[in-house]
Amino acid sequence: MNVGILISIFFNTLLFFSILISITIGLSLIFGVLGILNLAHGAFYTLGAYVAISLFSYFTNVPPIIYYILFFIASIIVGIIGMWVEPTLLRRVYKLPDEYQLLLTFSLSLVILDIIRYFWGVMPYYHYEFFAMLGNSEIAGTIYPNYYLIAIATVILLLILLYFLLFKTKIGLLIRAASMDKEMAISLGINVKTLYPLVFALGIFLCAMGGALAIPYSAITLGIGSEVTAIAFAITAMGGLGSLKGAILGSLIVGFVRALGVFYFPEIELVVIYILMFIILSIKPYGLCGRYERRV
Amino acid sequence: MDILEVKELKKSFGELIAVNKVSFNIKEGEVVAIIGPNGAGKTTLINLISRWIKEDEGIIKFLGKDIKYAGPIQALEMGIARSFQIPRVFGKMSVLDNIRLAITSKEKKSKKILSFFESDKNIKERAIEILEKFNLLEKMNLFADELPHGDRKLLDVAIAFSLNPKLLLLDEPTSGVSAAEKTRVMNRIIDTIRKENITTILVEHDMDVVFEYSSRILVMNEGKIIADDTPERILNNDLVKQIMGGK
Amino acid sequence: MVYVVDMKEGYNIMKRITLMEKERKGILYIVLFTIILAIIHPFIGPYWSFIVAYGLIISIVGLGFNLLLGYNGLLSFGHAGIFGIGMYTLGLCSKYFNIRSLEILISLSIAVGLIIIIGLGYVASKLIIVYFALFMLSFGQIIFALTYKLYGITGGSDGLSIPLLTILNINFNSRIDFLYCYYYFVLLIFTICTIFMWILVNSPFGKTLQAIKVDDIRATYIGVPVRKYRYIAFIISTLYAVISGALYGPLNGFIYPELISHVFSGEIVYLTLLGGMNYFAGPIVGSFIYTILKVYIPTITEYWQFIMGATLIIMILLFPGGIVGWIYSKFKKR
Repeated sequence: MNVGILISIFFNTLLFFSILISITIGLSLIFGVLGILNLAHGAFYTLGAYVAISLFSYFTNVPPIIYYILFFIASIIVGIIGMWVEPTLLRRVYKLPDEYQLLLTFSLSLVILDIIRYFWGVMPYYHYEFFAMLGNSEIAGTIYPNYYLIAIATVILLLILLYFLLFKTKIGLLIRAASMDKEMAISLGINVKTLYPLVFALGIFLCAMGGALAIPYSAITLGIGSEVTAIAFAITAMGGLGSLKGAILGSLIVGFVRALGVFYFPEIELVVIYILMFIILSIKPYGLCGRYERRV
Repeated sequence: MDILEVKELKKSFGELIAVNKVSFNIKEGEVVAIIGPNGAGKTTLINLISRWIKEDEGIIKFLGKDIKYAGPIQALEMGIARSFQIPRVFGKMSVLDNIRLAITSKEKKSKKILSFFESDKNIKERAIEILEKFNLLEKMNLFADELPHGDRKLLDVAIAFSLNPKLLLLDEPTSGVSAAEKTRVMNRIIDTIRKENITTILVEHDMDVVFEYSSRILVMNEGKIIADDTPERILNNDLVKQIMGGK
Repeated sequence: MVYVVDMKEGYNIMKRITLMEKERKGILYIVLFTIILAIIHPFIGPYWSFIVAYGLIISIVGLGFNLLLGYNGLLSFGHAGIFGIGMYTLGLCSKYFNIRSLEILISLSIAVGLIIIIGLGYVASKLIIVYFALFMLSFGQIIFALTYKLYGITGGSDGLSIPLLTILNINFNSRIDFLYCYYYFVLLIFTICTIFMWILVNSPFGKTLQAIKVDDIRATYIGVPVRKYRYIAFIISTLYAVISGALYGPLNGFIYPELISHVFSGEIVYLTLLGGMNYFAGPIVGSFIYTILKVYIPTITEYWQFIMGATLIIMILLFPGGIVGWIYSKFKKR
């Protein structure tokens, strides 16, 4: 085995992991705390990519750091949109049976996608400048683009920050309490009305970031969202809904499979995910790590 | 033959031993009450007998047969039915339908596709009879989740009753029922039980109910049975008095 | 004398009808609906006949879908895939085995479909809500991918054309002649499917399914074999999708993979909710409205998805009962 290939697979795994985890962790977070399966996640991912790429197009020939900042700004913008969505739409369906919330988020994704279509049209967008600007590094004899390394580092940094937020701060404690039992949380005085939009916005922020990060990696079209939603759901389902550990584990597995696939079977790529999900759900109806907690 | 034989039954949840080597036998037709402080293991015992959960050790024999491998559906078929401490009913269906469904299921008619549910007059009549026994007849067209708590309890017991059990396990049948109603409710339940000779185990906290209606009392504490006797002798049992704290 | 007796008979019959239980009335309404559609056929021209037939076909998959959603609480995002199994089996059989008989092709599609859904259902009946939706989604996507990638067999995105078929061994001179009779065939299947579904949901089995939806644990505790029943409901629901898919090919004359992508699955969900998922007639009403919308909206705007999404959101927030639910509430208020 060529060391170069091993290194590529290693870093590619981390790269795919980074993109996938930014989406799935948001999904798990939203489900764990709000109890909502956000079928519109892919649409927000797409929105993140489009907003980022538009921001980029306004700034040409600027130092890379500016682009880096723009990434975050784009993600924050989409996060804020998410924060608005929760109280207006989602809040009304908490009382309705589960099917309705799936349907609502599903419709939301349709609306968002067509809004994107309206403003940005159907032609694909590309932006390679940032990518090219950063150049490549040589690791043990293999050339690997710096952009990917930075993307990986950013996501891992965000994950660490998220860990600190959830497990070492007071607000993290509130979030975790709310995720276990909504009624208990309310009776403990946690202001669910302000907490929920924040958590939703956080999840959307991370997801949009995933979209923005994918820019140099693929052409930005309307379709990227649906692929991503399906994969994100597959991972979350495989890892077990609401389980952050499951999201991480799942993203690693899928990231690895995809990294291998890129080298050895580029053709079948996407369907592999579906087949994987199909197989896993057949054997473990509640995912690998999780139990779907019934809402009483 | 004893209808129920329990030998050395044990169940733990992690560190906590909920039921600790419990043994007792019940004869057909007995009405046995199980009392004890909270956490004594009474509900777990009911859960084990009705096969809601499986035991770690021990033997349960119903009508002479070991029911170790029976699940809830087999237990029902053999004739063990139960009601729940927090009543479980089909909320978005009418009271009448709740009972009719139970009867339909018991008569193995729930798999019928080519006839109408409403058309079965026999089932409807029997359901109405049962509702009358439990004083739920006027409310028969209400949705089960519109019922006040006490009625929901009654409905839960009525559902268990509709399943034609030989052994009926009632988990706190009168908790939440108003004091004025308790006598009437229990009278109805006991009347029906006695008429059909249904063996009954009831978990209860209300001592009046226990002493009025049961012929035998099992006292549980910390997973063990500490007394098994007639109501009079239990009244005079010092250990019991200590544990129950002068009720 | 004879006159008076006849009047009396007529009156008695009318009285018997109004006093009939809801169940029998339902069948009557369905038959009436069928008769009306049968009678108007020669008068509405080929264009509208096509639309009505399309609506009827989609109604079938809608009814099947709603058996799972409205009566079982299970949302399936993969019914398009099952539809595709019916559709492509018919197409491939007509192409590779040179079969032209409509009856044989439909039967073959049902048979093949059954084999697949019996296996699929065994696994699917273990799953609930989200996991079920995802499982069905992945299945639907796998079917879609298969039809797309196996272009050597299926023609890929170029599609497959459906030749002129025979009905009851009658050969037709032209497509229009075929469609004229095909309309009645579709109507017949629609009637059979709808009546069967009506009887099913009003049967003890149907009622038990509802109980499973409300509280599946309690259902176990009254002796209901929940998983087995879910399995049966799944088989019936997907069978309807297979039939619907098989019927679609000859109507359209042409089949291609994009018809059965997750977008179509979404549209099935949409039309069921639009019509009203808690009502039997919901999917039927929804299918017809969806068919008409699908024909006319693209002429007004290309943002069909937006319209779909926005109307769905409004439905969920304001009219969770769908259109049929809304009509019912209007009647009650009187």
